[in-house]
Amino acid sequence: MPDSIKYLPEKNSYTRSILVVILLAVIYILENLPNTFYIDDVVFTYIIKPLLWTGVVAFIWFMPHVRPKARLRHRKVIYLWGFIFGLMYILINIAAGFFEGIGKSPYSHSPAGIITNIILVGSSLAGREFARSYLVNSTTKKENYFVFIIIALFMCITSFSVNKYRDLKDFESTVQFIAEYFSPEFSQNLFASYLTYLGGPGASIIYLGIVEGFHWLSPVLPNLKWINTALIGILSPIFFLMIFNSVYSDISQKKKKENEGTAGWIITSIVSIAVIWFAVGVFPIYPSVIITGSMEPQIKPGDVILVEKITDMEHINKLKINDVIQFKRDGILISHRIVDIENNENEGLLFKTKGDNNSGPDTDLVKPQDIKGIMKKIVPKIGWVTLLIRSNNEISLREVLF
Amino acid sequence: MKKTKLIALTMIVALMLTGAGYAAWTDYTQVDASIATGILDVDVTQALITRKPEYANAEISNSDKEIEVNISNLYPTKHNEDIDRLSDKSYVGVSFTVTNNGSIPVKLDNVEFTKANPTSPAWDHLKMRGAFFGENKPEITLQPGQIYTEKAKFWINEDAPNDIQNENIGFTLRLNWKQANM
Repeated sequence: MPDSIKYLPEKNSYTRSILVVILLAVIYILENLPNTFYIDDVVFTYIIKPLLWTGVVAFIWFMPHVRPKARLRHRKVIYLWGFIFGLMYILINIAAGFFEGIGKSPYSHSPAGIITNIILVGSSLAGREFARSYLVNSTTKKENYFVFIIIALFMCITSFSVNKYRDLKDFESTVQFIAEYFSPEFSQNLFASYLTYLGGPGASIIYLGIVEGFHWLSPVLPNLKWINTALIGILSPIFFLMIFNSVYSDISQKKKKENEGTAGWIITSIVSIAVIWFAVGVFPIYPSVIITGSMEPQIKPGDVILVEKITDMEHINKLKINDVIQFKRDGILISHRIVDIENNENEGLLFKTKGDNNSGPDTDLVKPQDIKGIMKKIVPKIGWVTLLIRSNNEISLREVLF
Repeated sequence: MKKTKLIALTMIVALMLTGAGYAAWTDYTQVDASIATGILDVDVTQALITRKPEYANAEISNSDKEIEVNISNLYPTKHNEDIDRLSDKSYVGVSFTVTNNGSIPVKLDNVEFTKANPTSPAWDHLKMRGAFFGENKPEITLQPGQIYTEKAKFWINEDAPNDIQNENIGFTLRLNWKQANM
């Protein structure tokens, strides 16, 4: 084929774009069919939908690729910025939560729940971002905000169920819906469209992946008045868009080749954050170094115990005799075994505890609000460094290791 | 790229510190109410007074997440425990409907019942019958798009003194939902 023909604008790319739009519309329609349909809802939500979205990714992958605007060598910096904006978004949300209060996350945080949610959200994210990138980059080669807006609008509209629109009965609830849900979602979609315009689906997947990851995995979420949700939700992505606009014009003018192994860098930082968070006790299971010998022979000084946080009465009610719990008394953490449970009329549940190696039970009873968690596992000896740092006397290695 | 890396590093350290702050802070706070999001979103779509005695006043209103009820001028009435029937129609009946407008199956997490005037003596004599007003939380799961209607009855116990009818009884009901376990 002569070279000149290869570069003619192809009618086929319009057809393919329309096909992608139809694909997304079909998935949206399937999501919103009335319940009387014979497919079981759980199967549809957690198995069929992820498969459909994976299909979208495959479909787009096997079509002729459309290039995003930025050169390949700038791609990694763009990914890094997607990562940075994701972290910024999390920080803004946490700050808002500090000011106005937090609420319990409604999402399932059991191991099965987390894995299922990662599959559900991950597949949908990949599918939508591949679709977005394809639509944006096959429609325009220049920074065309009209195109970004239309595509963002389409993706935004298809992210809410038809029922939600149908149930907007009066002016007040419509305004609240637009402010609290629709506009922030649109703003986020606009920024994502810009990210894919420059960096392809990878850029927006990284940014939205971090945003969604925080949203689905954090045990608590900011509980803001709807007007504040609106403000932060609308302004943050616009803010990021403006920053990135100026950042990109700096990047694209540099001539040096950048090859810094960004992927490894991003992974390393995520892992370091996770390790630090685990150590300070952000996750539901946290480590605690045992300093005294009150629980010997099962737990010795220098051992690290893994404690599962207890956060509500449901867990307190499940505690049994012989469980080892960690509680706070006079400012220090104590880990002892439950030897008796009392149900006091006035004060509720009270726990009598005793260190295995102590001659008698602890003098004070433990109240539910003092309990931090229940011990799940013992990891021997690795805490001896902490012991050395903390203790005034020298603890010889022999004492710990014998 | 160097400036970019510096910014990234700052964000990472900030996030690590934030995590430490969060861990320390949640030791001291109790977190109860669940949040609604675009994907997990159960709305109260209808709230009605289905019946009331002619002489009584009853009002019900709802927002997306809360139902507010106000009852006044209700007289004491006799309730036959054995056959679970009220001797006359001196009760207020309400019905409300919730719809799962999100895209994932949900389950009832908890019910928040807040009295508008907790010190009123009417509370000692008010009887409530309905899934959300009992001791135990009902097990309800809603699929995406599913609609659920619940009814409730309120009446004044026959032992109540006569001046109870001058009391106003008001409360707010809020249903908190969470993702249904797989």
